[in-house]
Amino acid sequence: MIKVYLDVSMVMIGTSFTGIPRVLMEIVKRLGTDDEFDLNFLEYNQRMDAFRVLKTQEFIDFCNTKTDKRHSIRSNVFIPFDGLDKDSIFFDCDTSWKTRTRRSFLYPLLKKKNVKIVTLIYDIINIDYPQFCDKSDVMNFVDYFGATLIYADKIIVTSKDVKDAIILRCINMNIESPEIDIIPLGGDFKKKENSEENVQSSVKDIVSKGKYLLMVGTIEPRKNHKLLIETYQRFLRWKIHFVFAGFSGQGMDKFFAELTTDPDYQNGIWHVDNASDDDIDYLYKNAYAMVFPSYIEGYGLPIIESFVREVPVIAADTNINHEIAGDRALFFEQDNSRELADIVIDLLENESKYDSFRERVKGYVPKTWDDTVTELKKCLKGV
Amino acid sequence: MQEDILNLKVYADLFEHVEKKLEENGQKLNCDEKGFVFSIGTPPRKISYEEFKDLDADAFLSCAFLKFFQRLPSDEEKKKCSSMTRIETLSYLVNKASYSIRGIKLTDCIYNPQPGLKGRTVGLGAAITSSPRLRKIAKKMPDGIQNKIRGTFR
Repeated sequence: MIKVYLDVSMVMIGTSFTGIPRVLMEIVKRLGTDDEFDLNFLEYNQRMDAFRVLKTQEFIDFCNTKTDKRHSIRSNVFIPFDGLDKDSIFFDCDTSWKTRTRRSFLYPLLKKKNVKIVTLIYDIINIDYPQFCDKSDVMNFVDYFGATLIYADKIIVTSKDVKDAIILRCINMNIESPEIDIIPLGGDFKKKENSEENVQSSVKDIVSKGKYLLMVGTIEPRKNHKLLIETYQRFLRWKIHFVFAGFSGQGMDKFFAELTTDPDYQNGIWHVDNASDDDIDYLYKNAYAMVFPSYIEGYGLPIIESFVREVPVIAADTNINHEIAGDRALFFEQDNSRELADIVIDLLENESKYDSFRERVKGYVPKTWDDTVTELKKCLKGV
Repeated sequence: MQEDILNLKVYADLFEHVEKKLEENGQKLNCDEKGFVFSIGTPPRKISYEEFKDLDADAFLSCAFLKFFQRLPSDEEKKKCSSMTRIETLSYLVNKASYSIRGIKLTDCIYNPQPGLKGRTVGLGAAITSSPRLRKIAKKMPDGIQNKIRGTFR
């Protein structure tokens, strides 16, 4: 059996389980029940200044149910930072740069104890696009990423685009990159039955108003929501509606001022904050198309989520969007609202074009989480 | 020793890359490079003053914020500290709520600054109210109120 440690400190204090926490949970659900792996979940404990060992089965159950009884997962067993077993694997796949246990402190200790380090890097946006990020987050990420380049035995990424970016960084710094494996994420998230019954009436109301373009994701600068407002205001007003679904991120005051003062706000252009999974599912299923104007993405899960629901995608012409969407999506030049509007107007005016665009995503089968974890197991065994 | 220096160069190179990217986009990092490099390898709680006491004022402030709080000082905090002596700066930092919340132990420091009543009280309050359930409720509040709450516990 291969002993694997996972520091899940951030999941243990998290309030929402989308994005990276969701990925971690999908991995744990599958890897945790595999006889070849002995999973050990850890959480930083301030009082003991050490890792607290979590109850394995209880944590796996929590990943399955997400019911908030996290206190019952905590055991009274603690491990000092340098007390992890020799030849085990420390698999870092949470938002570890945000934890108390800095990787520039932890990784050298693990290396001294011959613990193998495998780090899943979702993206290096903080490094290559720091202008879109909180500056303190950037500093913490530099610590985490630097430690990974120095000490990791293997890096896992979810796309070729991220692998290329890491290799380029290493070349420019004149250092050797750790081995990098690409393991794409699954797209077969479990769907609840009767989910439509749980959709908020306000969301149903938006959908009933007519055709809309949907953008899913936290409202933050790098997602480039401002391009969509511009496209709507300059070219698409009264032609199609826009719906933004996602939490309000920081640094978007100007965007929200523009959004909420638009005469069509809540009547042609909407922001759905705090949307539940059922709301999002409903918005996807009924969308005319999903628009994805982001400057940079680590993976672009909304593209997969759209395809799974057979909703066509119009995306910015970036490497990562091409890698994930292939020839199923339509692309517009980054930041070009005119080109985006032309694509939409063309589709609205040519029903047969829209139908054939929709046809491209019919029967789309995503990579499954089982596939992802099968590849992950191979990778962990090979360290 | 040689390996340590090479390792620190990796962090320094990444810092410079990020700083350059920000400058290209008309932004500033607001962090001293030396201060950042000296924060590398800081343990979660027990922080040695010896390791960064000799840094100049700017580097010291960046380093202390990163070591203690894993964040950069705000403009307001920087301004406040700019006219302070080293002892006053340390005392100011130690009295911040998050110093108590994080249970920091500053070692090798002859001044031996201790959190005052305010720091300890807010720290205790934060410990009591930091359950994920309460934070979930707080996250549903308007941005202004959320920022006020964050400010109290910084």
